Amino acid sequence: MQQSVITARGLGKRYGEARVLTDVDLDIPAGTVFGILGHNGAGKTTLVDILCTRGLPTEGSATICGFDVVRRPHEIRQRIGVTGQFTAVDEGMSGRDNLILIARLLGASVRQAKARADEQLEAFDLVDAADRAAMTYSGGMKRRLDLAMSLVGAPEVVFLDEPTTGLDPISRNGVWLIVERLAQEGATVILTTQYLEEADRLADQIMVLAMGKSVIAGTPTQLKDRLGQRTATVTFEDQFAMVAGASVMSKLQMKPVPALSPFGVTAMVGASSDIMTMVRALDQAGVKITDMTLKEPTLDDVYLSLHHALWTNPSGEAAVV
Amino acid sequence: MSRHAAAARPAHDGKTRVRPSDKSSRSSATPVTASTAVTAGSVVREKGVVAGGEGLGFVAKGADYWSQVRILTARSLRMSFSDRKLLLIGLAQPVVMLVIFSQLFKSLGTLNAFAMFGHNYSDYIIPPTLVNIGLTTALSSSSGIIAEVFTGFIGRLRVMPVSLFTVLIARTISDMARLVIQLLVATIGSVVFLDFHPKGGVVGLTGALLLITFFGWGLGWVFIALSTWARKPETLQLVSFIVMFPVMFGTTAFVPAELLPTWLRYVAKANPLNYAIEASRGLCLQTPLHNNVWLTIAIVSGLALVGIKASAYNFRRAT
Repeated sequence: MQQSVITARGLGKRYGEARVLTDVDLDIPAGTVFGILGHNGAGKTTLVDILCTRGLPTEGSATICGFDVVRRPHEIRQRIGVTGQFTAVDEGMSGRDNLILIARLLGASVRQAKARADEQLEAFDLVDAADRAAMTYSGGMKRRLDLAMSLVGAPEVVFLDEPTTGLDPISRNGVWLIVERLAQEGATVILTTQYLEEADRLADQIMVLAMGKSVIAGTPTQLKDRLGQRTATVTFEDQFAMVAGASVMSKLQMKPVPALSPFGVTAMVGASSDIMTMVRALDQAGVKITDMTLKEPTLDDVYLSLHHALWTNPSGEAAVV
Repeated sequence: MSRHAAAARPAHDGKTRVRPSDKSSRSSATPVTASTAVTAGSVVREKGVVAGGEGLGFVAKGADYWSQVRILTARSLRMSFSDRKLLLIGLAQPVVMLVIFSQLFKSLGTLNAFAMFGHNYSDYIIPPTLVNIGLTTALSSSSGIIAEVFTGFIGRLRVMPVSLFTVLIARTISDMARLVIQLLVATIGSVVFLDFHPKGGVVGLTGALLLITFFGWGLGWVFIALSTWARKPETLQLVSFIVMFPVMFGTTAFVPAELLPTWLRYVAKANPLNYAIEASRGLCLQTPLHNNVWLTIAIVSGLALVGIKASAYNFRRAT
């Protein structure tokens, strides 16, 4: 039953000589959150624009819910909700009127539109500000209204293009909860972000875009396994134990460095079996340890290593994979 | 089908829950929003309002074309009439124009060339000033459209199952309504305060106002086409300067043709705006009309057609 809601084959876009998107393939199953990660100018917005029928591809093809993005945009627009990098609310109107307007344009009767606006105001915590002009809203409130408007028609597919850019941490957390809720309710979410933490927390699948190309894709865990470094921080009983322990770890090619904690040493570990080897070796050497913590690699590590790989190999082919 | 939560849920849950252990500590880091939004979340989950749409009551197919026009016209009208500041300035603008033109150049009326108009400069200048009001309102249509592009409203409509062109139709309809009110205020004010004696009577005046409204509507499309092409307020500002000054002054709006230098007389003859000015003057004052009314209607229709075509082309899907 796992049918792809979004597919793309060889999708590309060029402006004259400049290629801003090259050969992107996608197969995104229903009800999942797909994260597109990349820095400014990586091609994220271009890709989203093509998928949500705002821009045309110059190469390849893509479908949303089985409809071709070039030939059947109207059918796609009946099924998607889009939130861009900049809020698109009518600042002169109240939050309620903004929501009613969108519902009416989507085909709701006046009564249905009012009921829907009430639901959305409640769901997005805007009841108290409902009848104030949107220009009086804070940045976080505007963003919530913007999202509420994009979701008025209960879209099957939701595009969120950098939804948390420029938000404070509290508002950002609010947006994250909304994304999680969307996925729970069965929507398919395409999320672009520059923040690794965001993609790591929200996305089921991540694609990293750089210079218009997909350089790597997979689950957050896969990406980290493939590219990140897992580290172990070992805390020893005293200074002597620490020196002895560090030399044991050096012999195991673990490249230990002093940790921030007293008598602590941090070293890279690869597979889980490496940890056992280390503990056994330390035990055999009679070195006493008081604590050991493992740190999983974060997407920051992935991102940095990819970036490094791209700079050293500017042809941009997935050299790291 | 994927609209409903149950269908897609298992796949999703299966994937997301297997996550590194530091996740839970991270999400509890900002307890304030977490709690408020979770409350909202539970409301949502019961009704399924964010996406699962079971309580939606309507299908987001998009309203039909003329419903869209109606809904958006209502919005545009509310925008231009709910903003009291804008409304007041909008009404003050024709008054200021009328007072300046009729009073500043009042002494011109004593010249021989104005004998035909009973040496009353007000009678001479007020019909073209009404045309000028039509022109200014037409210009404001376009800056309104540019503002909409900037607020992102049009960007939102681009990804909705609606026609973008209805936004433009709505805009011209509401601008026409505004123009009619401005023209009525200006005409009544002129008769009461500015010594305006339209010999054409109610019939002539109604004819002139209808013609000017049509003129404003048609030129509105030209400026809308320009705004969809220029996309920048600065460019539009320049265009409006070019239109307002040389085009408006290169006519018989302010002085009759015989007072103009020869070259300017030819400019005025070739200036299409002159037909509208002469036509409205003829209708108001019962001076000879020649073919001016029909020529105005023909020219404005042609310009409107070009404007509509061009703006539809510029407003099509971006590539």
